[in-house]
Amino acid sequence: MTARAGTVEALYPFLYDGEDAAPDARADALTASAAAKLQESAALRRATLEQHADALVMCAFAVHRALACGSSTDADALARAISEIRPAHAAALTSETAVLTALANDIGFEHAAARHLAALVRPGDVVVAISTSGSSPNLVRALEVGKERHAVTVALSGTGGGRFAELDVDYCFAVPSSSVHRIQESQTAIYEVLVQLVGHLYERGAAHGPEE
Amino acid sequence: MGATSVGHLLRYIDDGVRARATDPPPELPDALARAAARIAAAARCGGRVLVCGTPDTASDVDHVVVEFVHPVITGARSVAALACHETEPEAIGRWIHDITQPADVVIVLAQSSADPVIATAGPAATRIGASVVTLVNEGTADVVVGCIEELAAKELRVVAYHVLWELVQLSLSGSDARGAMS
Repeated sequence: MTARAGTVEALYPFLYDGEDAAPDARADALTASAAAKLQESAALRRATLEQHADALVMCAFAVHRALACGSSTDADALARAISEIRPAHAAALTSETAVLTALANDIGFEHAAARHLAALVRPGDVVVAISTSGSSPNLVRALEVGKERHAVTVALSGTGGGRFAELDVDYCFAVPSSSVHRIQESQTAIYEVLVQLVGHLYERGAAHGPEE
Repeated sequence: MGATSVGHLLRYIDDGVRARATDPPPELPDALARAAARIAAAARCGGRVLVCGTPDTASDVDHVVVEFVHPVITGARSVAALACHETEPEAIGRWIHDITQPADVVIVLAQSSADPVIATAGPAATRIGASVVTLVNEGTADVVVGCIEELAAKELRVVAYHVLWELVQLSLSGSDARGAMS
């Protein structure tokens, strides 16, 4: 079966092809590949945290109520983690599937996050957009709305920051890698450390500004 | 109110960076390779990837399903996958009983192998004849990813199931995958 360009078959050939094109890779090659990828990931996560350490600290002081959008699983994980520290102080827009699908159906996915955000965001809130490219059109629009409404804007992206880097956001955490997986792993490290810092500040009642 | 200086928080990050320099469990690469071979074998036979877990791995369960259904590389092999959104072990067991077929592979995610979901989900799938891959941070399982600290537990799980997916792709196609960014 030949997949036609632009069709579902082209996107997901394995769902439609009955035959495997290549034999199984040797087990030792898989093990070696796993070891190399684990090492690459750990090195990138360490380098990313070191590169963004100062901004992470300042961003942690800024986090009050966080509204997360972008990758559903990451937005949800971030919102849950902050809510465990400060109940009701974070929400993942992607968890509101009824709103998301209604907006996406009626006005288009590109506008869904921005429209939802426009109704929710208040000055001083933190809008967090998570994307591996940093150029997802729906998130670019969401960050623009966040800036218009005087929110603190936080962008997590891949190499160079993508279009996020052109928006003059308050904090842009770009991960220097071309691998989607390695970028997502370092983004996970970034928001986990951010949550830890916020928790640290909240415990000490110091979330209103840094002391030098 | 305790004094919290910028320097204090920077040292906190430094500690996290050092902790991430810790080597992963030595058996992890081989465990991932064996798990990937199992998943690839199921996929070749038309099996689906069914994923379940605990409340604290709920976002991981969804993430793993997206990896298999919608590869980050256009043209990479997609494998039919489904997430179980039940979180009580008994309900997960019923879900597996009702939906699993012998050709499927069930991936079970948990922080610890002591979580009741491990004892429930694995045997439920095995009784049907399906393959099982258990992935945890600590304890005894097919894949034990280790633990740096409480929050980084998720980070290590993400790394592990990303690598697992990449190895499944490598096993199925013989070529490595890096992905288009979104």
